[in-house]
Amino acid sequence: MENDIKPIFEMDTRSIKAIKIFLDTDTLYSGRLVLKSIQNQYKVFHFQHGGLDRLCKVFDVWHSCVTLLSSSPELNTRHYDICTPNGEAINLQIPRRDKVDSQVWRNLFDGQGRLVKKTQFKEAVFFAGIVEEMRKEVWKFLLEYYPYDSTFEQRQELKLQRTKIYKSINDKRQGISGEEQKTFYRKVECIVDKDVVRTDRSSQYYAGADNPHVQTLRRILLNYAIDNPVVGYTQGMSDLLAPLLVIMDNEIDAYWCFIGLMEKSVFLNTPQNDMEEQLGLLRELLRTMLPHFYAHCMKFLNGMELLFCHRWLLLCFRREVGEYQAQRIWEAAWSQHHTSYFHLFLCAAAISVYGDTVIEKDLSPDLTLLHFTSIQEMDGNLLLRRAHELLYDFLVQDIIPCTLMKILSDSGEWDSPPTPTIYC
Amino acid sequence: MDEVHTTKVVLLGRTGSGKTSLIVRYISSVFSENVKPTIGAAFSKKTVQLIHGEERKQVVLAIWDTAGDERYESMAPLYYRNSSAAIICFDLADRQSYNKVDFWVKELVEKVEQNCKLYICGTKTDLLAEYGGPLKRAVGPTEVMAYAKKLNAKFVETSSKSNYGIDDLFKLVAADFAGFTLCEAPPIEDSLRLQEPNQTDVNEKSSCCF
Repeated sequence: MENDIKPIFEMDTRSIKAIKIFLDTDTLYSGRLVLKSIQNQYKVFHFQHGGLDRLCKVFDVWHSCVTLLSSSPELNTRHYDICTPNGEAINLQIPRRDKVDSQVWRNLFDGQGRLVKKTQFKEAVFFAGIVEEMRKEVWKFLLEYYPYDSTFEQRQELKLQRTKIYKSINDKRQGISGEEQKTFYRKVECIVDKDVVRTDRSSQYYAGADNPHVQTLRRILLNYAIDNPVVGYTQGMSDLLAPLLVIMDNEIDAYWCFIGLMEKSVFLNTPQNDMEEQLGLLRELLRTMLPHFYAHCMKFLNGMELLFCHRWLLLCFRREVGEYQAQRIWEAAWSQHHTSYFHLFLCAAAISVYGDTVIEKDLSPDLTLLHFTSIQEMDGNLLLRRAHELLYDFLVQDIIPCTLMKILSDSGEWDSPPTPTIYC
Repeated sequence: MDEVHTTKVVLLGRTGSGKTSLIVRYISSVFSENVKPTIGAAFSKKTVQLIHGEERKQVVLAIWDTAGDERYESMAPLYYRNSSAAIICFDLADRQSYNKVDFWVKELVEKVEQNCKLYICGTKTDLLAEYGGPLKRAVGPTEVMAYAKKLNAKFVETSSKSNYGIDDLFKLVAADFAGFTLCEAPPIEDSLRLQEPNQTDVNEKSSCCF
C-alpha cells in the first residue's frame, strides 16, 4: 500500500508572517509560492505545472486569516499578510503539543517505517516530551542510532550489524596485551573503575553491592575508549551514559546511543576548546537576554568565566535536577528544535530562575559559584519552561549580535536561516 | 576585634584521591561513600579562629575543589589561580595516586606565578592495615617526607571517614597564612600523633618543621 501522503513541509500557520506569490508572466498559473516565517525564514515552493491560480483564489477568500496586502499585476505578484481572526498582529507563541505516546509515535511513520513527520516529531519532543515507556524506542532516533528515513527492514539490518561491531570492539579490548594493555589500564581503566562505582548509585537501577549494571556501565565506557582512542575517557562520561543504560536496559543499544550522545556533547575535542566556545556563546546570549546579570558579571575581574556554568554545560544539568526531569530536559535539547544550542538557553534559564540573589546581594564570582552549587535540586520543569520562553523571546528579536548567528544556523526544513538584523 | 583575613586554598590530586570527601568532612562534618566525581569547580568557605597567647586572629578559608581528571587540566588554572595554599592529595594505599602528586605540583608552580604554600596530604588512613584497615601502605612516609622537604612543603595524613587530621590540616593552613609561627602553634605532627591509634610508625615521622 502506498497511500500515505507524505507532507513535504509542515508549519504552524500562526508562525507565518507573510505569503507571497510570484506568477510566471507567460503562463499565469505557474510560478513560486514563498512563505515567510515570523523569524524571517523563507520557504519557496515551485509550481511548474500550474495550480497557483487556484491557490490565489483560496487565499483571496480566506479573509479570516489572510489579508491581501498588495497585488501588483504588472509584476505578477500577490502579497498576503497573515493575521489572527480578529485582525491583531500575531506573536510567536509557544505551541501546546501532546506527549509522544505510542499512538502519536505510530502516526509519525509511513508504511515502510520511515519517520516522515519530522517537524511534528521534534516539536512534540521539544514541548511535551516522551512518555516514559516510549523513551527506549524514541531515544534511538533522537540519538541518531536509527536514521529518521530508515525503514523497518533497514533498522533490523542495522541492529544486527551494530551488534556484530560492538562484539568485535569488546573482543578487541579483551585482546590487548603488553604495553598497550598497561597504558590503557593507567589512562582509562583505573579511572573508569573509580568512577562507575560512584555514578548514580542512589538510582534504583544501580543500587546495591555487586549490581551487575555497574559492570555493564564499565564495559561500555571501556569499549568506547578502545574504539575512540583520541577521546578516550573523560570524567563526566559516566554521568552521561548512566541514564541511557537505564532507559535502554541493553548494553549494545546503550553503547550506540552513547556514541550519538557524545557527538552532541562538549567532550569530543578537549573539554577546554569546546568549553571556551560554549562559554563565549553563553556570554553573548546573556548579554542579549539577561542584560542585568551580564552587567553584574562584568563588574568583576573574573566574572565572565562563569565558573558556575561549567558543570551545567558538561553534563547538561544531570547533577542539578532529579533523574526523571533530566531525561525530559535532555530529550528536549536533543530534538534540536530551532537550535542545536538549547543547553545554552537552559543555562540562561537557570540564571533567570535562581540568579536574582546574585544581583541583589551583589555576589562575587566565587560566592556566585557557592550560591548555585548550594541549591540542593533545581526544578527541572521550571527550567525547561523558562528555557522555552527564552528561546522564543530570542527568536523574535529584531536585532541580534552577529556572534550569536551560529546558534540560529539550524534552518531545518526552511530554505533560509532566520534573518533578524545582525549587528557586530 | 579580631583581625580577619581571607585566603584561598585549592585541593588538587588524582581522581579518587579523596579531595571532595576531605572538604565535605571539614565543612559539613559528614562522610559518605561513593561521592560523585567532581566536574567543574566547587567552592566553600569556613572561618578558623586562631588564638595564641594574647594574639587572636580569624582566617576565612576559601576552599576550592577541583576535578582530578587531567583532561580538565587546561581548565584547572581558572580554579586554582590566586591560591595562597594548595593541598595536594593522594591515596595512601594507591601508588599511582602518589605518582601524580608531582604532576599537580608542577602544574601549579609552572602555570601560576606565585608562591603558593604546598601541603602534601596522604588520605584514607582508615584503609591502611596499620590503622586496622584492609590495605597496605603504598608509599612509605620517609619517601613522602623527603619529597615534601625538597618542595618546602608540609606532609600530613588524614582520614575523612574516621575524621582524622582534617581540622588540624586546615588549622595549619590558616596558621601558616596568618603568620602564626608554626612551631609555636600546635605542631601538626604532634597533634596527629596524639590521635593515632597505633604508634608504631611514629619514628618515621619527623617533628613539626621542614
